[in-house]
Amino acid sequence: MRTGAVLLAVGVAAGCKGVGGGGSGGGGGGEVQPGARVVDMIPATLSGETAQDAEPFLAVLPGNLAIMAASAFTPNPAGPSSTTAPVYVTQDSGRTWALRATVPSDVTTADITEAFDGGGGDLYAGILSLSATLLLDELKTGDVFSLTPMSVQASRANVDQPFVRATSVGAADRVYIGMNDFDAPSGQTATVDVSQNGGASYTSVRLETRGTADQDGPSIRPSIAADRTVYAAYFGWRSFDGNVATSDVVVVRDDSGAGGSGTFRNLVDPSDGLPGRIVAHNVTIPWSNAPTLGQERIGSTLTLAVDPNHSAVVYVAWADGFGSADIYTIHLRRSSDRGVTWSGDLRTVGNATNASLAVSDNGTVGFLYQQVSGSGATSRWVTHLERSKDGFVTTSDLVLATVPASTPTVDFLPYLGDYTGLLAVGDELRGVFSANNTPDSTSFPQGVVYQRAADFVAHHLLDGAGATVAASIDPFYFSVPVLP
Amino acid sequence: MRACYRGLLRIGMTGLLLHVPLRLEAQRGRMAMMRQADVIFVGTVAAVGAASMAGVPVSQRTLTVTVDAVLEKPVAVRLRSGDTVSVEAATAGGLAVGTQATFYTRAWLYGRHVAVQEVGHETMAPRRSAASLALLQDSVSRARRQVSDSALRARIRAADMVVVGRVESIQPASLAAVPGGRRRVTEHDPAWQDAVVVVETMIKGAAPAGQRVVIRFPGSLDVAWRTMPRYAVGQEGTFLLRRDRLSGSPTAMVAGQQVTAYAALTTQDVLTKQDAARVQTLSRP
Repeated sequence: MRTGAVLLAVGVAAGCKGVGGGGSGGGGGGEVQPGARVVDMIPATLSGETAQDAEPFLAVLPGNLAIMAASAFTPNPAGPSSTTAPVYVTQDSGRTWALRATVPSDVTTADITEAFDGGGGDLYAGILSLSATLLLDELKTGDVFSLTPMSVQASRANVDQPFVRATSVGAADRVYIGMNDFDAPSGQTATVDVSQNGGASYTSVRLETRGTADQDGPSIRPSIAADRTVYAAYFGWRSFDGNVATSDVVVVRDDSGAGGSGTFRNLVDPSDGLPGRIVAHNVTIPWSNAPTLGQERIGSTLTLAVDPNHSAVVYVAWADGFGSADIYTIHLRRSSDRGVTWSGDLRTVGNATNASLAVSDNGTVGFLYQQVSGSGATSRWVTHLERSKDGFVTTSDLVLATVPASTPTVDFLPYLGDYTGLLAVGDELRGVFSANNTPDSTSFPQGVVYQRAADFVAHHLLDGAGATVAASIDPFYFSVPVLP
Repeated sequence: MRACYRGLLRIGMTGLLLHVPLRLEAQRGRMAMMRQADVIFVGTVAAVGAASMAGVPVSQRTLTVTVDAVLEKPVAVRLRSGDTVSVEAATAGGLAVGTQATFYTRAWLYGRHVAVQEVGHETMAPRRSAASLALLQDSVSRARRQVSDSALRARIRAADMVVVGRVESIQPASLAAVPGGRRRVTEHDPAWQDAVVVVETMIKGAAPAGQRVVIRFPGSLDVAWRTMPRYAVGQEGTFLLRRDRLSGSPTAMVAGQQVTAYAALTTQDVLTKQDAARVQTLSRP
């Protein structure tokens, strides 16, 4: 009987596609996009899973777009004595996902991002293992389906938020790992580890050229264009009082794949002639390592994306602010001259975080973010994907999910993540976000498919044997067509 | 009659003497497998060189196994009798189609089905009865308790101090100054706290009843510290402690006195007060 209800409920949820998302139960409203897909990534055999699967990230294999790898703070289901952490892998364009325990870190990681190379099938990852020293491991596997754990290519302590991008130049893979390196000299901690030989060796490139508050902010975000132009954005912290960082939002550029001397020095600021264009000067960034915005911490939201085919066009978004009603505001800006000059705010989004940007081959910009609407017990996390082809003069705003923000109670931070993942892949925008997993079709205006057992009529999860499972945070994959 | 009884007794004793070492050896082998295994089930080999789901690399070591009975599995994993499991066997050619065995495995892949890597197996007679499966389940449970005791004994041995006590207070840890004066600002900051525990019973170490012991722990909610235990005032327990080597400051202050700071590294090192007797027993050489 229950099984019947489950199957029916999943059908109802999937059947929501194109039926209208206006009554989405959380004020999401907005459009419904035919061809959009949203999938709860927890596999059927983990239907009893109740972990806080926060901070998702995504990698797509360019040589076979059906194959993707994704990560989150999902613990190894085998338990506390596990010596590996899992990654999610799909080979059918995200319709189904399996969890594979192949990351060499006990049970889980403290940070993880990953990227495939230009098409050969090598997967690179940067992780922080669970240790008091913020131990960075730079990982690689030549076969994402292998039983063998990823190999550690390089390792060092005192690093935060490794953020991986990769490409191939000829036969060689180039890997760029943005990170906040606390061992960098003079407190100029914004760093990109660059490898030009498939991770066999890395060179730490220091991005910061100005005085800092003994360090920069945690997020350093590289992005690569087809012509090998590489940009990176970082927060240049100029002062910090324990609760607020006064920061510049800085963009650097390298015109030759960051492979030569003077790396990331091709863009200078007219105010001081130093490398690194200051997009926004002395912004106020609240730093709260406690549940603050819909149970989430705040302080490091930053994203950058270059148009892959027109490297002069680049977008950056960050969050700052210190209001009472709007405590954390995302700003989106654009440059069309290789970062020399920048627009004012094209979009501002209040009480929002986890911004991610991607630019498709046809110029469609995807802008993913998660915003708190309402307050108290009725507040909701609303996950938006905005698309624009005209520099955000006009936008299409899709609500991917609108779910309760006050449940489940935070177990650890980040609640949903310090970032999400978004990529432009052919004629699609593909991404991942984390959200409350209560099976309610009104929470997913674009429709949703659950792999795990769920009863969409009674709005609860099942363990596969008929018992109810408590709601938790799950990673969700989505794909949405680019604008025509 | 008496001679006959004596003869039977002799035969029985011989059988017993032969049987006991064999059983002991089998039990030791089972425990060795269980130390590495997290999914244990009775299953019948349905195919060799085949997998039950996409994404499993297939070789002659790859088996498709039908689950007859689940003996142990992680709580979040859905696995039932009748399910199909892909097994990466330890060696090729060891198990033919139709063989029934108890599989000791490590879970490796979770999708529509589960794929596991074999640690070892015990073949068995086909079509075992429900009663014999119940006996097997009981035997595996007993072996798991022994494995668990063995692991706890090792943790006790590794501990610098083991005490039963109650958390009296919690305060921010006063740490030594960072060399060079720079303190990193990161979301992974542990925000070290000191829990002061009043010792009720000392099991290992040198902390008599009534003495106060400091347990240092991360107060931060950050993901990097999610596997370390946290404490609340009034909490009672049996604490397996090591000298603090994580915070960079090996000492703490209690009532104006400098004392050694300790830490419990995992939630497995913080047991209930009721576990004290078991810990006491296992702590004896």
